[in-house]
Amino acid sequence: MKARRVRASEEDLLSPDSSFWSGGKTEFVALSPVPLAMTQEVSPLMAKRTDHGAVSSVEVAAVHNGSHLALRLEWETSTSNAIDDLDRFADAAAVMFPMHPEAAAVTMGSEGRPVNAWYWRAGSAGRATCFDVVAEGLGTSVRRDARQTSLTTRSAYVQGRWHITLVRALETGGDAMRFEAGATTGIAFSVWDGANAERAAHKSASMSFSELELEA
Amino acid sequence: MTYAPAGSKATLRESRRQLATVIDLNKCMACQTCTVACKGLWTRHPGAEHMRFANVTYEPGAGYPRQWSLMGGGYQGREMRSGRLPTLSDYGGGPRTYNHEAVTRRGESQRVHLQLLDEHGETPSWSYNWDEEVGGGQWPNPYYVHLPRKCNHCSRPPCVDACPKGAIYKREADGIVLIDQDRCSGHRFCVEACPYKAIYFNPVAGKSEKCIECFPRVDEGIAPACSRQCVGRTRHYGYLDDTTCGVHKLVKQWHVALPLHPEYGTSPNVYYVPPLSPLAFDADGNLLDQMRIPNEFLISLFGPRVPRALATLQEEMAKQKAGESSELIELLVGRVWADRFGGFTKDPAHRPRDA
Repeated sequence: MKARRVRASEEDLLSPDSSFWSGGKTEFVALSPVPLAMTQEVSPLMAKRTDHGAVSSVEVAAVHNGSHLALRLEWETSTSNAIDDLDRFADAAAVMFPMHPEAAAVTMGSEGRPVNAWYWRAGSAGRATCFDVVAEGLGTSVRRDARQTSLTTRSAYVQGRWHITLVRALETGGDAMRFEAGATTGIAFSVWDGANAERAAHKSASMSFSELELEA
Repeated sequence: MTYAPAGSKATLRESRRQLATVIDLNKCMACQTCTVACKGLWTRHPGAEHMRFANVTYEPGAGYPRQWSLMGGGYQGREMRSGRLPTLSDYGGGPRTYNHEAVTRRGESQRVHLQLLDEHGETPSWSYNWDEEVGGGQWPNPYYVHLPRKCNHCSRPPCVDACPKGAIYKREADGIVLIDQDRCSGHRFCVEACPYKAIYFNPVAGKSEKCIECFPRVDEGIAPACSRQCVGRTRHYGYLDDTTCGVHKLVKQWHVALPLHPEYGTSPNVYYVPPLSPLAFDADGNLLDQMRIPNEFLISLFGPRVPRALATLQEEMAKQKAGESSELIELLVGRVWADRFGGFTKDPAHRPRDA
């Protein structure tokens, strides 16, 4: 996948309706249910689940403006879901990047091979939330305030389809992923279907890192 | 080992000693002082309105949250048992109020009776203890039991096993089960795993919360509020292995204090002295040679050791009646209030200001 370089403000990058999105190529990324048997040590209760993976593909586009990277994710789902009761779960999505060349996507990295993710979650009355996430293996993920890494998101649910944009500065300092125009990195995707009570590793994911090239 | 965030389950589950509570159901009158003592201390923050870490309900009855004992969780042998999550309405919704205004100020008391109102000003169809004193049994032998509950701080805690974030752990020194609020992501596998539904989701914080066994008090030698505030002197508190403590004597020596639903497989650490009851009547009002609360019912709550525990209680009561002294009955009567708390007897009102 290629992130075209566009002339756009950070605000334009956030808008799913910006004209540059329609000009570029989108990719359909296949998602499959995470093999939960591998989570037996982490949560034997979650490991029993077999009903996850409701969303099987996500349509993705990427652009950058030299200072910020924007990703647009869209997928079909028949209802929008937020945590509006104690037994309800929210629709959510995340993109993940390897911070080590040998980090594995399926386990969210491993000790000494961290990954960094941008996580978006639907909220009641349109109030979505996002977190910056770092992890070094199953069960180790740590959510951080998105403001720490200047991660911003925008989302809309229109006619059975989520439209999400996630925007972050290429360089944020600290221990978050660094991006560079002209360079290629890995990218992986996850989607949680709230109606199916999906959360944690109980989700659909692309399982391995594919390439994301930022146009020079 | 001390708590290692996201550590191995074996590490998170480990504790050297175990604090435990004994509750004598012969004395509990469902006054809800434990409920209020806990509520006032720990669940007054936003998103915690529905939470009662300590609660008292009526058995047989729906309980709290409604039908909790049918929601699954716990273990079946070595396997974790799946379950379902309670809804807000299963907890009886948010805070309730009454139509005081209509009855007392608008002069409508001849037409309107005092009634409970929900957050929308409507009459709720369910609330905490909605089925108070309904109980079970048929005339002339109706019965019910007050059942005070809180987290069991289980020796085999399914919440610890279920949490995919490794956020739940037992304190090494005393076995208190805690949720690390920094690591909790609100996935609620713990709520599903707990067969007692002693873990509550806070929708405002997006995290799960539970009874913390008043650990800031315990660390200073003060018994948890639910135990200390109990006006009926129903509760004993202390280390299960402290042979001088009432908890140890009632559970390990006299075997009259039994765990709730031992079949859930979690080795809970709140123990109950099962209630004796008057003799049952036949239809003509003659006394029968059986107690009014059926044994099968008590066994369904506290397991197969109920008849032995009840027999011990009766034998020791008979001794005391005959003028002999019974250590067991003296323990349960609890003449010296401070003897009930296994050394956790400091007065919270006299804590040093800088503590």
